[in-house]
Amino acid sequence: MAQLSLQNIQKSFGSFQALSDVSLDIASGEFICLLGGSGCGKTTLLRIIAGLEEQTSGQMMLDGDDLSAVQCHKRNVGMVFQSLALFPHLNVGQNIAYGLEVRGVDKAKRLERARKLLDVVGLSGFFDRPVSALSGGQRQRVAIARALAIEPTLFLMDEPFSALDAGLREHLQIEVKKLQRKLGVTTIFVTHDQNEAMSIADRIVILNEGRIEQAGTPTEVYACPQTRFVADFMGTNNIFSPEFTPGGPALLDGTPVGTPTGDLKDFSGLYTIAVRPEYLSLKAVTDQTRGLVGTVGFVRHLGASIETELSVAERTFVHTMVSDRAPEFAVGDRAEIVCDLDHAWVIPS
Amino acid sequence: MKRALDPHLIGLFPLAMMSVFFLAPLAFMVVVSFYERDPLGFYNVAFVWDNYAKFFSSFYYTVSMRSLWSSSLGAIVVVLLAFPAMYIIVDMSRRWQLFWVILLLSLMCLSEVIIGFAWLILMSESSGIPKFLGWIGLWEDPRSLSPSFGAMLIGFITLGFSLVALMFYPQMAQRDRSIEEAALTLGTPPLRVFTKVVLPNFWSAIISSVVTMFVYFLGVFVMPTMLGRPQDWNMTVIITDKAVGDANMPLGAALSVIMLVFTLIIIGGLMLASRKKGAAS
Repeated sequence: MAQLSLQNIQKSFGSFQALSDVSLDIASGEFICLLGGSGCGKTTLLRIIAGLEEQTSGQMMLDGDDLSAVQCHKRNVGMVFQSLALFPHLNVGQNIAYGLEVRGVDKAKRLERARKLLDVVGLSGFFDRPVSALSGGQRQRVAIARALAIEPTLFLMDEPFSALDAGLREHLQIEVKKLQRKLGVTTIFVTHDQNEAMSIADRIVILNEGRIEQAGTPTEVYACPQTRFVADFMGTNNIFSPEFTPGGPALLDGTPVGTPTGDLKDFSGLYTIAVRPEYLSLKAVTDQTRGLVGTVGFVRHLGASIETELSVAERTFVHTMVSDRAPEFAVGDRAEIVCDLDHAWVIPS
Repeated sequence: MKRALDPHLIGLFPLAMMSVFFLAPLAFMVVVSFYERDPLGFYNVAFVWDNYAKFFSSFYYTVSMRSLWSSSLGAIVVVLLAFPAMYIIVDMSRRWQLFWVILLLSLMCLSEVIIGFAWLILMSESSGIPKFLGWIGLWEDPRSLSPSFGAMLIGFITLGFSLVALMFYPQMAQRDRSIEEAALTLGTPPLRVFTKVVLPNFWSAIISSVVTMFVYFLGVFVMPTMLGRPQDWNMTVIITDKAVGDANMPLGAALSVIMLVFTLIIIGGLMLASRKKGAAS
């Protein structure tokens, strides 16, 4: 197990700044997810850790030693690539044993280890199969087994499940998490899928335009987004800036959107807040309605919940409710939007 | 049903034409190889084995072995040079890749005669490489480098290099580079990545290129006559000499048939070996 420390990592490709001042400490045995959209620098950071790219500046320490000074092939990192990168000229067993062969491990020992790992990833009996004869999920497991065969100091995964269907992806996420816990290997997992990150990471590092926006446990980044980007990126959020009056309702463009009774009740002035769709409630519009009224633009069933999108002038609000009853509002209906501001999160300006 | 057949019918036409234009001369050559030479004309219709028997004289046997040797050596050397060259070119910037591809395509536009003459001049005692080496003091007694086996081999390489390099280009440019990166992360030193991962993945392409160049060099006529010594001439030159120079069409035809059989056996052997290697790995 290893402790990795990144300090002010910068990477530029010509005039393009891919990473800016990335600093991060990863504890031994931790499962970290680097999360962000395309081009945010997450894969570049992973490749720098693996030694496939060199940082422009900054320090990278592994257990107190300078990792930057170590060549890629001597870093002892196990990496699963997005394309999986299995060796097509080798069969399953040879692929898994490859790293041990390069290290000069005795043939009997490396084949034994390959068979053991095949058992671990649930592919016993596939040892002699050509990799071309495997399904997507099986290839994925072989790639994981190959990376783990060398008993890596760091286990790196670059969007390994992006090409799989939803069911298989979820299944493998659980398997990888279990395997990582069992082996205790420090793992860095790159993904653009926030649900994937939420389901497997001990800590999520959200990157945007080459910078870390926020790093924290899945609950922290979901419930307490530190920036507007994180609030937007981590699931659906209703982000708006009402005016607070101590003890009174918060007003959006002069219309009440809810009355805080908790932390926000003594707030005064304009604050940008994020309210999750599940903390919005919709009421039928009556003559007495004085609150925020929106028009339903879209209703969709998401299995466990029903999502309703409402527009209020230029703004869009999203409401969700459990799908144990029929939708209360249809497209074109008008509804009053009430926010539970005790579950709102103030986004630091 | 009719719609499904149409493309096949269109494809059958050139296939039929190719077959006719290849098989008809081949059949004619096989038939003529059993005829007798007519010293006053072309040939007399007969059925004799004499032309084939002549092959087993030491002269033709030696020429055959020499042809196989020069073609094999040329094919291996040209692939050994073109493969790593293209491996480097495909990792260059788009602009440099384009430059090299255009250069290689331009080389293919040059005729065998022009390439041969260019090398003749470059290897001549009076105005080429020997003179330059003498001038800078590296060669005390500069002499012409051609005709020689080496000069002929250089001619072969110049002829085949661009063809082989361009044969590798699409496959190499589109290769999944993460396979090489995976080998690196698994502990393979950078230089060994080439032998452990790149070469095995291109094994079939390499064998195909060697076979293609081998067949191509077997049939080369101008380079051996321009850059090689008479003892370096291949069977193609001898067949032309017999069929055209000595007006001995039956002997030329018999030698051609034997060379064809030899070539097919060698290609078959190489393909079989490649398939076995592929299956084994």
